[in-house]
Amino acid sequence: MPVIETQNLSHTYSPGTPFVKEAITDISVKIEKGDLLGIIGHTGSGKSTLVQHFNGLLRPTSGKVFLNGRDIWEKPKKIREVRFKVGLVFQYPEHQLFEETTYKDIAFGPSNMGLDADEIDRRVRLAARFVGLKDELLKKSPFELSGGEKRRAAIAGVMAMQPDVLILDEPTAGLDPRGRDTILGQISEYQQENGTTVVLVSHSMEDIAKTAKKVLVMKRGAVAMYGETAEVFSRAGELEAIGLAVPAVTRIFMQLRARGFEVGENAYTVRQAFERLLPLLRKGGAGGA
Amino acid sequence: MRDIALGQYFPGNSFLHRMDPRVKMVLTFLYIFAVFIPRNWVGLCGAVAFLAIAVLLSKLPVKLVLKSIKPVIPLVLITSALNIFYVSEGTAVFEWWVIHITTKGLITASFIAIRIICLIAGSSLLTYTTSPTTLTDALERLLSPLKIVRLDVHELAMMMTIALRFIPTLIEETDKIMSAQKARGADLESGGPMQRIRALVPIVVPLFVSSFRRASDLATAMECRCYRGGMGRTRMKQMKMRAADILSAAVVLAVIAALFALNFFIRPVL
Repeated sequence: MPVIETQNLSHTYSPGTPFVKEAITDISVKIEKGDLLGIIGHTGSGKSTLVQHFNGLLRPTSGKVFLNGRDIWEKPKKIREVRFKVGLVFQYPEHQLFEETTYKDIAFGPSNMGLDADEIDRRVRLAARFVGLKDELLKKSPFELSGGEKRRAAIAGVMAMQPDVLILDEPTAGLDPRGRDTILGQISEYQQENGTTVVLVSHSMEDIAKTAKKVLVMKRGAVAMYGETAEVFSRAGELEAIGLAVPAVTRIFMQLRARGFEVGENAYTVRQAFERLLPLLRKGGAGGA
Repeated sequence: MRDIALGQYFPGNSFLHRMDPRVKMVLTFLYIFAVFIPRNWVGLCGAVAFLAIAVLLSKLPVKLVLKSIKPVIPLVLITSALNIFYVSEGTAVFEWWVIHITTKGLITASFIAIRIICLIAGSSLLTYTTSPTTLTDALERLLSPLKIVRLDVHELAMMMTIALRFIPTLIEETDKIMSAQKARGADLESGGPMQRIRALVPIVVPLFVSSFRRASDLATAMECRCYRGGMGRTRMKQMKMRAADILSAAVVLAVIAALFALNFFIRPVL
């Protein structure tokens, strides 16, 4: 049974006004338990709108959302429970920090769940460890942390709720390459260690290629492609037609093939490219091509 | 939160949109004054007709103008009701216990209702056809004589412009922060008054922090472009009075004169 499923999900903003906008149209997708899914698309393609339906922040204009097989809007009063099971980290989550200490801020989610003090403490420390925040930082005000640390503290605040599904909307936006790699690495690690379902929203092909196992490509509020990462990236031509820049390595592979090199399948991470090009180079070296 | 129509500018290119904002502003004030002149039905109908023509000239959807009246409906109803029940002159049409409803009361009530509606619709026509920044620019120019009494009109107008400019941004920001905290299980809808106030802390604190951040960013950006207040500052878009503006002013003044004249020639009902 998929952990999250949508059926013919559509959402329209400001219906009945001059500013009416249909953000997503007729989306039916299934997200399996334990997946590490990347959602990719242009700005305005409906990625954020879609994920805000997964935890019931937005109510579908039409269609349904199921969590573990149950319609989340069956009992609208119980929607908070859904939000504890599906944790959503917003874009620029550091803007939501408000407590006196980082520790208290991370504890905000778990305390809203009504857990006892010991359990909250355990979860806060575990989450802080996952994102690599040291104990002395937890005592500081969140406003004293550096940009990257703030971001990680905010992510820890959602991780500490230990949701079944963790959704991160553009978690690497505005970070330097090192900060980006750190956070993506921590997310993968968290996913592997807990077997949590993770949904990663991004418009960076590189980020998705590096991290996700499956990819969902969105185009103008609808699903354009959905499948294993390798499969989606093998259709590099179609991706470029949608206007999504494929990773630089993939582009190199496409160009090499166009010039008659037998490079095989498209690579989408540097690691893969290395493994595929090395034998070719060795052969080339021997043959003098 | 998104649906609040603050600074409700509705872009367009009609006669009213192109008018000099200073003239438009003064004429709107004059019109508000004018709806209180008529003391007979002909004059009042004239004031309503003038507004109707202005709405047509603005090419705005009529529905939009009607929507602007919606928030004042309770006020209209209350003032009308007070007039119906308290005016005791004139012939009675309905009497029961302490309630006397008279013709005079009904007339007064409908005059007041129509006046309030014209007043609101007329002033919203100004805000619909003029962007908030243009409006404050016009205000700055109109108030510039106050410089003599050492009032820094430019600074005042700049503050208003910035405040207006950031209202939609702040609404959007509030929306985002509320969603983010709800995603962390914040409960904003239940509990007693104290609990609800406490529930606002996770929203108000980040909002303050981001407002200060924005303010300092904006100050830096303004300084980078060498902003040094109003002294010797020139404008890219000069406000110009054209023949059409003078004509409109003449029409409005003529309407006001006519309304006054009608009060003399037609027997007042009020």
